[in-house]
Order: sequence, then structure tokens, then C-alpha cells
Amino acid sequence: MYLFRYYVACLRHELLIHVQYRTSMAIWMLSLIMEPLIFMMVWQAVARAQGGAAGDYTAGTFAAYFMLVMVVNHATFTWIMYSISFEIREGYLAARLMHPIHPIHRDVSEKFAYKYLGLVLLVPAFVAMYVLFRPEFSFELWNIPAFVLAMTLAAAVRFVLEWTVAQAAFWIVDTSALNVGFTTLMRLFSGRFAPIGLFPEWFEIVGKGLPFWWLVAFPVEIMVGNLAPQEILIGYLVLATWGIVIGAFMMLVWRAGVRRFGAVGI
Amino acid sequence: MGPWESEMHFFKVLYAYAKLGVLNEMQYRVNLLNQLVVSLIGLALSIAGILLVFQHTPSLGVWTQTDLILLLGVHMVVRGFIGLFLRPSLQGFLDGVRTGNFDFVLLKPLDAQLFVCIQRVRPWSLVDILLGLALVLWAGVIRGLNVDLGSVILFGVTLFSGFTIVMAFWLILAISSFWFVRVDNIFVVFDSLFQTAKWPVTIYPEFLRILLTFIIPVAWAVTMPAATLSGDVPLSTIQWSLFIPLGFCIGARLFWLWGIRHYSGASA
Repeated sequence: MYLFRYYVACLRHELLIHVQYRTSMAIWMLSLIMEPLIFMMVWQAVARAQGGAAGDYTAGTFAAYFMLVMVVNHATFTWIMYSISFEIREGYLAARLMHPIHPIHRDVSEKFAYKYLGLVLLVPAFVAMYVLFRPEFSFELWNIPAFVLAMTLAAAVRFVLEWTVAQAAFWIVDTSALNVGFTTLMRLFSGRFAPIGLFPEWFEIVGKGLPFWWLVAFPVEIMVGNLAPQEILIGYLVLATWGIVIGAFMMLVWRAGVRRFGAVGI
Repeated sequence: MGPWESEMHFFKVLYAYAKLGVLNEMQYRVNLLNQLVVSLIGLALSIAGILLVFQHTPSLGVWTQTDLILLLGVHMVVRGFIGLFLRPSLQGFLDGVRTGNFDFVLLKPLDAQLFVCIQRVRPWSLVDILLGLALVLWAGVIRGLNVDLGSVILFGVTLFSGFTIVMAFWLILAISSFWFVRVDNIFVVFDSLFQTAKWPVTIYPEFLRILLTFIIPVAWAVTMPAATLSGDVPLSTIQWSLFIPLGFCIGARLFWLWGIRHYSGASA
């Protein structure tokens, strides 16, 4: 109950902050919208050059795929790797450690607030793309709750994963190279550049063995109608397993990290 | 004073600032390695993307795989040009407007507009420029371009005109900070739109093509120079790349003069 009240208070606080800096937020949203939009147009051009289809995808299904990538990426992405490493390096974390509550709760509520406000731009972008690019969705009614569940799981696992990677700042002063490495893996394997079915087969095997594909493309492919019910159930299991493994690792790393933390700068 | 003396003086000041910037950055030599790693990873990702696209089609309109690698090279050169001085300088300008330190720039006996564009230098971005040029050269050799002097000159001219347009556009974005004081991420607007330039503008739907040609001029900065080398641009189009930068420069100047009247100073 206490935690619930804490979340409500944090949410209100963070919402007000984001409303205050709304121009800045609109600019970040633009970059979130542009990436899938560009890749959508590139692949639509490929489909047109091939007389209508590339792989199993037509111009219409490419549009559907990338519009959903935009939605799922918005729902799951975080910027913790930049914010926490900054707080650790500059010593701001010290103040947060004094609170009688785990710092992760504020990070979670901050992301909630951002994502909720982001809908103000995401929904019009989705509608505009729907009108301009004529996506072809082919899902049945049960795909919708399956999609929502997968997206929620993916958001939780991606949050835990990025929170863990961010802890590297306890040991490394300059984490920029690590962040580039992580975002590269994410870009390559998460299906944001192209549906994994268009890659060579070995790539698909490697990609599904890593967590990244499950964090963005898995919910998308549910909604595009590419996955059978059985595959979806296996996907939930995969996500849950990653969540437990990474979550356990996160707790270990956090304990060791806080012990190392020297509160530089204060 | 002779007729060119004030200009000479200006260039001397610029040279001094550039030298200072280079010396300053030379203290942090690991940044070179950082930049190299970041640039190479980005390059590898982009090339992988192009290769994947051409697994599924032999060409995009008139553009072949090699043409797109050439285009990517031009994209890197332009990005390097931006990183070399535009990004650090104009970021400094934004900070100055927010903190009020811009007052001191206005007090200098120099043209403030030119000064804010070149006040800082980040030499590591030369890595991008060199990698980009190498890519252009490599794609050119593969393609077996009959490189005559004429097309090289045209490439140079269109590239230079692209630089000018990009510079004016960045300045226009930065000037908006006179009104919205807190826009530290305004250049993300350019960065996310500039991603479109990795692909030829001809693949985009018409409304976007018009937008990218006349409003947000990435088409002139990247597609045009690359197209002069792959040789499918009529001369009548190329002559526009002389007038359009001029228009952008005049626009940026007028906007600057208007904007500066809105600057009230934050320090006082």
C-alpha cells in the first residue's frame, strides 16, 4: 500500500516535469518516430522494386510491421544507461541511497510517466502513418491480449536488462563505449531494421538465442500474425526466463556496486 | 586600414581559436580511439543494412548497391564536417544563451554569427571525413567510374554547397534558442531527419521528397553530391545547388538579426 502511494506521488511528479519540458520531449519523440518510418519506406521501396513483395512481406505488411515496431519500441525503451551512469559518476546517487526505498522504484515510475505522455504524439503519428502508408494487419481478436501481454513482459525484461548494464558505471568511469556496444546489438538483433525473416538463417538462429529479438520484434510479430499460438507460449517462457536470469544478476550487481560506490563529487 | 584588413584580422582570430581548440582536445587522446570505434561500428551497421536490402532486390530505382555505399560515404563526410566544428560550436552557443555567457560573445569586436559557428573545434571528427572519403573512393573504383576532372569538380562544388546549406540549417535551429531557452536537444531534430539521407531521396513518397529537398535540405547535402559521381544528374539541376545555399545563407542571416533582438541576456 505504501509502495502504491509512493508510485502515485512519483508519477504525478514526473508527469509535471515532462509537461514542463514538453518541447524537449517532443524532439525525443521525433527521433523515436523517424527510425521505423525510414526503414518502413526503405523496405516498401524494395517491395515495389520487386514487383510487390520482398520475402514474405508486401508494402502493406511492411507498413504494419514497422508501425508496431514504433509502438513496442516506445513502450519498452529506456534511457537508464545514460541517466544512472551520470548519477553514479557525479555522485547524485548518494542522495537517492539515503531514501528508505530502493532507487529502482523511482526509475520505473519515471518511465511510466514518460511513456504515458508520449502517447500524445505517438497516437497521431500512428494514425498519420495508417492513412499515408496503408498498412495491412492480419490478426484475430485473441492476438490483441497476446500482444499486450508480450509487450508488457518485454518492457519489464528490457528495463531490467538496461538497468543492469547501467550498473557498469560503478566500475567503469566512461561508459560511452559500452553503451554504443549495447545499442548496436540492440539495433542489429531487435528487428528494428528489418523483420528477422529477411535475414539469413544463421542470423535468425543467433538472434533468437540472444534476448534482443524478444524485447521488440516478438510482440510485433504476434500482431502481424506471423506466430502460431504454440510459438507465442514458448516466447512468453523465453522472456520470463530471461527476466528471472537477468533480474537475479541485477540484484547481485547492485549489491556489489553499492558497496563499491564512493559518492564521487559530493 | 587596407581594403581587406578587417577580413584578414577575422581569419587570424579564427585560426587562433581553431588552434586553441585542437590543442585543448589533444589532451584527451583516448577520444581518438573512442571516435574510431564508434565510427567503425556505425559504418559496419550501415553497410550490413545496405547488403541486406540488396539481398532482396538488385536495385532501388537507378541506385545500385555500390551507389548506396558511395552515398553512405558522402553521408559520413557531411556528418564529419558537422562534428568537426558545427556541433561543438553551436552546442556551446546554446549553453551560452541559457547561462548568459553569450553576452561576452556579443561584446567581442567580431561578427557574432560567424563566431558562434566556429568557436569550438573537435578534430576527432576528421575520422568520419577520412572514412567517408575512403568509402567514396572505394565505391568509385568498384563501380569503375570514368573519373574525369569535370565530375570531380562537380562533386566538390555540390559537396561544398551541401556544407553551406547544412551550416545555415543548423544555425537556424540554434537561433530558435533565443525563444525556447531550454532546447538542449534541438540538434536531435537534425540528427533524426539526417538519417533519411543515408538512402537516396528518390525512394521516399513524394510529400517527403519535397520536404527533404526544399524545407529540410538533406537531399542537397548528400544525395546530390553522390549523384554527380554516379552520373545521373542533369546539369540544369546542378546549377540549383549554387542558388539554394545562397538562399539558405540569406535566410539564416535575416533570422539571426531578428533573433538577436529577442536575446535579453540571462546573466545580468
